[in-house]
Amino acid sequence: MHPRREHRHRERLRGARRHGFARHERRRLREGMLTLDMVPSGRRARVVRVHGGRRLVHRLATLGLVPGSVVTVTRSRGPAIVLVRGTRMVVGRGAAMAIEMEEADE
Amino acid sequence: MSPIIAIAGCPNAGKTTLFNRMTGAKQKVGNWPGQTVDRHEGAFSVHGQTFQAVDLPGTYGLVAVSAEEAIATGFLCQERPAAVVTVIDATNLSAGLHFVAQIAEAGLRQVVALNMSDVAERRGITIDTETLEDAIGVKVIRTVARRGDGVEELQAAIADAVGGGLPAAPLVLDYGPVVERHLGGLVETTVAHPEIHRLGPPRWIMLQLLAGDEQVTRAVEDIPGSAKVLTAAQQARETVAAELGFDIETALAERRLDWVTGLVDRVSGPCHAGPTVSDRLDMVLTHQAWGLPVFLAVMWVTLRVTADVTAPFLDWIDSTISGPVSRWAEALFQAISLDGTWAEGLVVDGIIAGVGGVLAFVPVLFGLYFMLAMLEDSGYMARAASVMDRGMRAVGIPGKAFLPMMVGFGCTVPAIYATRTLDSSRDRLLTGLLTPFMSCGARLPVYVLLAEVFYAGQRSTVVFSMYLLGIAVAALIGLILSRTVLRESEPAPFVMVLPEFRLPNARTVWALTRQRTWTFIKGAGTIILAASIVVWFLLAIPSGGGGGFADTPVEDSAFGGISKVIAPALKPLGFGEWEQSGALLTGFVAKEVVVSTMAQLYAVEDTAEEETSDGFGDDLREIGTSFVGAAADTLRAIPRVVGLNYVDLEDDSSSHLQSTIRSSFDKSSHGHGALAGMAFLVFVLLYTPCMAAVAAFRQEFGARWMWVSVIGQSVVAWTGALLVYQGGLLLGVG
Repeated sequence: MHPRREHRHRERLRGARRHGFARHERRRLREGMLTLDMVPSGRRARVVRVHGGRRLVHRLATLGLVPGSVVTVTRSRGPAIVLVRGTRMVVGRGAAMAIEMEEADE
Repeated sequence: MSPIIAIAGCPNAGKTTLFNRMTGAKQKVGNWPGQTVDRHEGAFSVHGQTFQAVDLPGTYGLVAVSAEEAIATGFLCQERPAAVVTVIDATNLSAGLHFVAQIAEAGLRQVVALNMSDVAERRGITIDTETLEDAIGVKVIRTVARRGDGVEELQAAIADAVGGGLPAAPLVLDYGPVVERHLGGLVETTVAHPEIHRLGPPRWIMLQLLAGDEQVTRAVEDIPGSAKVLTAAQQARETVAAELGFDIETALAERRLDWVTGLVDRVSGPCHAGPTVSDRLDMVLTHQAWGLPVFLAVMWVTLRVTADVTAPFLDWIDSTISGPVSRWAEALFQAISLDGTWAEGLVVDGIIAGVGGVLAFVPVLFGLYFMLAMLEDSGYMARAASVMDRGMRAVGIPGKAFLPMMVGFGCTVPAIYATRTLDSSRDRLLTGLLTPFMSCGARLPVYVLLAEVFYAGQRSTVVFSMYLLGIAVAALIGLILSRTVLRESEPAPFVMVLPEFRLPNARTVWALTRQRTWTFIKGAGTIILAASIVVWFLLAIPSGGGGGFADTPVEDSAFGGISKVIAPALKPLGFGEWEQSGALLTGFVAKEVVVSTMAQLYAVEDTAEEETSDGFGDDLREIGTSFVGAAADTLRAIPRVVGLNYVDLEDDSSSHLQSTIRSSFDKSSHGHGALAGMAFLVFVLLYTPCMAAVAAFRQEFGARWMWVSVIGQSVVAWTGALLVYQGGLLLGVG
């Protein structure tokens, strides 16, 4: 995605969350994007970007989840359970929907 | 002055256990300046030299966003300890090394404690400590804090590191061309400010400024003439973010984690990572459908253990204080011929009764804290928070807030302190405002008494519905506040580390339990004691009417006067008699006092037979036997914990008192006694728990919010009781 388009896209997503858009609206905005909540359980995937406010980005970064991290998804339904560099963590559904992923080629 | 050693590391790495092992009993707990996070300090000595150890809050990094991080970063940068012991979990090397890297960048002398190395070995994780030592240039000691292994080596290594004299060379990582270009320029701006160098290596200071760390920013702000440096850093922060296309914190963490990953690959052997037992447990414990029933079952057992197992000790303390101890005091006054004077009244009815009121709570709290410490140390709390998060988020508080709420069923005071574990000040405040609605143990006797009077057949139903009503009101208030005054600018993300399950460690559980119980005795105890003395004086001072000091009928005392002033405000609620408002007034001291005040105000003689004592020895024997009896009762209560029989609520109220209460409520409500009784219970449930809770609230959230809380609760209680009473009248109930 072009950086500017991406920036706009992210702003839109952030705005959508802040203004409490319905979940299906947000899903439409995310169209075509693989997010953590969609990764099938048991699969490994790579983090592309965290679309969220500073608190989320900071929290995930301190726990070792940054773009490029390969994540083992133990469970993705409900609150997701993931293993990142040996740290096991639970990620709420809202946060999981904000983490853009790509398939890890393994 | 002895050198200061900071113990730092990620949460659950075994930091506190290691700290306890290192310092033994020589510890003191205080608060961080201007913060309410506990600060643990202790001392240890190696070869005759004493070191001062400070246990820093567990954090995952040194860029301050939460209160804990701010403390850790602030301490490291302002106080520059002689050395830092970084405790890392050998089973989770990456997170640990990420932290080690940040300490090394800060240019602090460091010793790494590779903790839980036994668990790692058992799981087949091999770590080459020599390569690790070479790569980061610090000493790495294998420890097993729970058993105390490696503690002596660690202490020796600390002494060596401090004795070495040379300051540690800061670790320099490559942050990529964009960041490095700006960083170089920024470091040059500090040359003119030697004060900045005192905070740490300039490169680290600039990195912290770039990452937007509040603590370091504030420290630099305090240096005169540093405005230029700060502006430059702020500009660089924006430019870098624009050039990279994403924020700089992520960029820095990414590079650091790359370095960590490379290092982990070099030092640890191949990892056989299959799903562990912990993993399989998690699939159930945090499951969408199964998680909640399991959580409820765990909480049920916790509350039952707290209530049933500790109840006999509560009775024992109560009877010891009101029996032998009071008798001894009376005998003492007799011996110095002061019996019958007001001084005796003050000591026996004011001070001893007040101390008794405080001590009566100790067993219950001890039981509750013990259970919670077991759950915390086992690792279950993180799972519970994840189960509760969704539901609690709906009313604006995070899942983690269930812990203070749970504690609130025991006592509101420690519940307010327990809000410290929450991440943001907004979450803490909202949770603090809601916990008083969780019906605490002290309110139970009031429910039992009035339910017995008005709803004899459905006592348990009435009591249980009070607890439910409290939760419902808390949810409603939470819903309103989180959508108005305490609206969140950004929904707090729910991300939590799931620590490995493990058997609770006796030392850790004991330390936690003892410490929290002691905090209650010190904090709440002194206030309840002071308040009960004040009430005694109000009862003793005559206002109008007859009688002298300490010899006046209650109705004519200052206390009676105040009660009469308040009474009309409670008339619409169906309990406008001065005895009723007086009972509620003493409820500000402590809720369980409401019952005894009622007995006192309705001038009902205690039906308990006046015990006669045959002497000091007999008293001691009696205390001893009843303690043994209490212990036996406790053992008998344990199997009942898992059973489903409802707690057998004790019935120690005389029938005379009951009929007096009934006629009084009938009178105040013109024949709708039962309804007025219910409104009274609702009022007791919802109004300010007690002075001690108010004091705790003030200490944590400041005077302004304290008043909001006190006035808010009174309004809620008044409205709630009004709705029950007037609504009931309209509907023709009661």
